[in-house]
Amino acid sequence: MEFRPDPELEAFRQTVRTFLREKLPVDLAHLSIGMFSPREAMSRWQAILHGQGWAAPSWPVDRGGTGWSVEQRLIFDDECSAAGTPTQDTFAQKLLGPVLNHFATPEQWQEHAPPILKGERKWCQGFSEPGAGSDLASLRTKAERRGDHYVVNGQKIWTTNAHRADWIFLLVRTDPEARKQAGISFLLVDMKTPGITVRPIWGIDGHHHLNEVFFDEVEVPAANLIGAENMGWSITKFLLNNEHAYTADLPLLKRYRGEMRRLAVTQSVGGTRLIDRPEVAHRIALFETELRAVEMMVQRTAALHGDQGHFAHAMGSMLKLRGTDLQQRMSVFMVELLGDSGAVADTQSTNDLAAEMFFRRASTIYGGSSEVQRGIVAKLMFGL
Amino acid sequence: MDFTLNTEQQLLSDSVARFIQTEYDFETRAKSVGSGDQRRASRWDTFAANGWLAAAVPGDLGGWGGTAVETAVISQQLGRALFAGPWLGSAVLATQVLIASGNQALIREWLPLLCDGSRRLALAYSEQGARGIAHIVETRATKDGATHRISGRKTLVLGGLGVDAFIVSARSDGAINDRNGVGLFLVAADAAGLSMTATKLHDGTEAADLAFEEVPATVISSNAADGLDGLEYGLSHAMLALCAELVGCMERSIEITAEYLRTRKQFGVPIGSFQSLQHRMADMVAEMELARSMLFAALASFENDDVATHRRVLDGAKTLITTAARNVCGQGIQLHGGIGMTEECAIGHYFKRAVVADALFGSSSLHEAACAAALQDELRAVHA
Ligand SMILES: Cc1cc2nc3c(=O)[nH]c(=O)nc-3n(C[C@H](O)[C@H](O)[C@H](O)COP(=O)(O)OP(=O)(O)OC[C@H]3O[C@@H](n4cnc5c(N)ncnc54)[C@H](O)[C@@H]3O)c2cc1C
Repeated sequence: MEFRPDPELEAFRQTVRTFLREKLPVDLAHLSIGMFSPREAMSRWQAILHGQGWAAPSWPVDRGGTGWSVEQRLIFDDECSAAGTPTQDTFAQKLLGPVLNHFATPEQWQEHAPPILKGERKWCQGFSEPGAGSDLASLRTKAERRGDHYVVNGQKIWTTNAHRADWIFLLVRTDPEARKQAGISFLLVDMKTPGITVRPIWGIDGHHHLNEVFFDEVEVPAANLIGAENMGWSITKFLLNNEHAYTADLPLLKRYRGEMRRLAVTQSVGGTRLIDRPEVAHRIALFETELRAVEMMVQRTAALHGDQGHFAHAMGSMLKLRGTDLQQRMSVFMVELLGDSGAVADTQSTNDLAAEMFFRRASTIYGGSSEVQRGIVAKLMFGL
Repeated sequence: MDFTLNTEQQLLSDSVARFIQTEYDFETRAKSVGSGDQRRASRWDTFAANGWLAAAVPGDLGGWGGTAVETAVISQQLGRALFAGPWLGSAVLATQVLIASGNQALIREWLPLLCDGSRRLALAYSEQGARGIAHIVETRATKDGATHRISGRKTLVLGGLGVDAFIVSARSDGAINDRNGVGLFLVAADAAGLSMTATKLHDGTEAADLAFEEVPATVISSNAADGLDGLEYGLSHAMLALCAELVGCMERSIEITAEYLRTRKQFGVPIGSFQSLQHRMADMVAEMELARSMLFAALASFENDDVATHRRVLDGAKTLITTAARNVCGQGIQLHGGIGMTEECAIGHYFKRAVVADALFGSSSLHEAACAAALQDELRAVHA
């Protein structure tokens, strides 16, 4: 064991910092505390990254990516978060991207990867259905092969950003006879295809991120099937298993820390600044301690990258459990720090901490709920 | 000690429950919130006719002679339905502050009108830098011949839209934090120099922000003994009401969630058959019963103990119960999965109410600090 900072990584951090200082337009910075940047801002930022050759931090070099190590990517995310850049299209970069790079034919890759790299095409993820949430494999949206097309019928739900996306990657049932997991395929669908209807779902944070997506006799070229027919489940497992070190959303936690510090010195009670009240300082200090531990846990998980063992996988789940729990507790306390105004709904604000806090209830639901994660940990660690 | 409701209390509780059942289900509430209903205080006739507005008003003042227990019984039922009208702000807070102010002339003039529902008052006490703590007051009152003039700002006036007059705390002497020099004043809603903005809270309830510029006012009580003490006594009564409301919120969240666990199926079985979720429900109901017990402890102390003691118990109760409510209702969302994150599902609204409740009358951390200070005073006095 050895804890000296790695000079190469420190140099890398400086490079990223310099780039951000020089290339991040002022009007794109700090648009939102949460993870939803306006579509237009995302596209502009993606184009800037593309110009720098940094379009896909998590992709290999021969696929137009940076080929960075997990450690480098964490530094990149950290600096971007601190500088307040717009987000990249996570669905395209981290979920679909690896699938394209691994399973797509050269034609499919040529069709879909470049627009992602250039920020010209936004994606959404069509997995969940009303009857298939945690039990994803029970999904029923079906795709029937007719000639050189699939015809899709069914419904997806909780589709984040479906109303802002150009394309959707879908899990569909292609073999109704087969065992649950066996009859599923992975299909790419243009959202402009006739027969697709998107209906908004309003969230408790007062915003519209989620949607229901209905498919009524939607014709999809058979060329849009990724991998072989009925191979969708193994592709899904591959896709969901990729990003253990990111499950805690460390940059988000750091933004919360910054926000707490800001509130502690700008807000007051009866003329006393919050930071001068022991109970406030105490609580923030505890959160910062926990955050430091989470940060190291992220580094440990990053060091396990590529390791297919049980522990590496379980660490991803444990990190998500602890990280999302911390997200929720920190965001609740941020709202407490607002005092009276923490009760006021102000959905127009760009720094709407309460909306962020309400949205964070979802962190323990999406991406494998905490209950499901606990099940995974118990199984992987103890064979229970 | 007797934990069963007596005949009158039972009738009271039943009558509110009946009102909720027949006139105020979740859909009705959703429509009513944001339709201006709160400003018109529609349904106030029902509140008056059933005697709810008079339940905790002394018999010699034309009330039913009940205490904070009667208030709690009503509030708990209203909490189950997330009643959004001015019950807490007008019927509890303003009425109880007026009673505690000791100004016999004004009490005799106003109370009959408040009880029969023909007039409504709201209390304007909190300010930007006060965060719900009563003695932190910057708003000034200056004597002007036979009347007084008030200048300053008040925030988060509960039930403040559409009232006939405001009870306003203002300082005629001393610095922002002094306990001396705070008086209570009556200001007509249409008084010259008073301007009002409506603010919407997360749970859909509305409050008012008030700006006073040399606004003419009648003295209710000008010395600290009656002014601040009366204000704090009324606030204690309202805090008990809020705590009871939250117990009702928790009860209903738990019922709604239990019902969902029985009907929602994943993996071919009701999710309620998963032991992890059964245990979670058990923890939630245990936390709720602990919170209810704390409410009773606070009610007992309010009836039996001196002011310093009951205030300390109440500080603890506010913290414990708002924390429990945020936990229990937050878990309610968790056990619903994605559907719990939506505006149209009831469960999220219970969580929102719990968040708002924490911000009202001083947040958990402030009350925690007050408890700690009281403990320090006690032990230092004994072990000097
Ligand atoms: C904000 C948000 C964004 C989302 N974005 C997308 C998206 O872009 N694309 C997409 O496809 N999906 C998306 N989802 C859907 C998400 O993946 C599902 O909500 C999740 O899989 C849970 O499914 P469910 O909502 O049906 O809940 P359910 O599976 O019905 O779960 C209800 C409760 O039961 C528990 N539970 C379920 N099974 C078990 C078990 N075996 N043991 C113990 N407890 C169990 C759950 O943990 C939960 O507490 C999103 C969800 C949210 C909230």
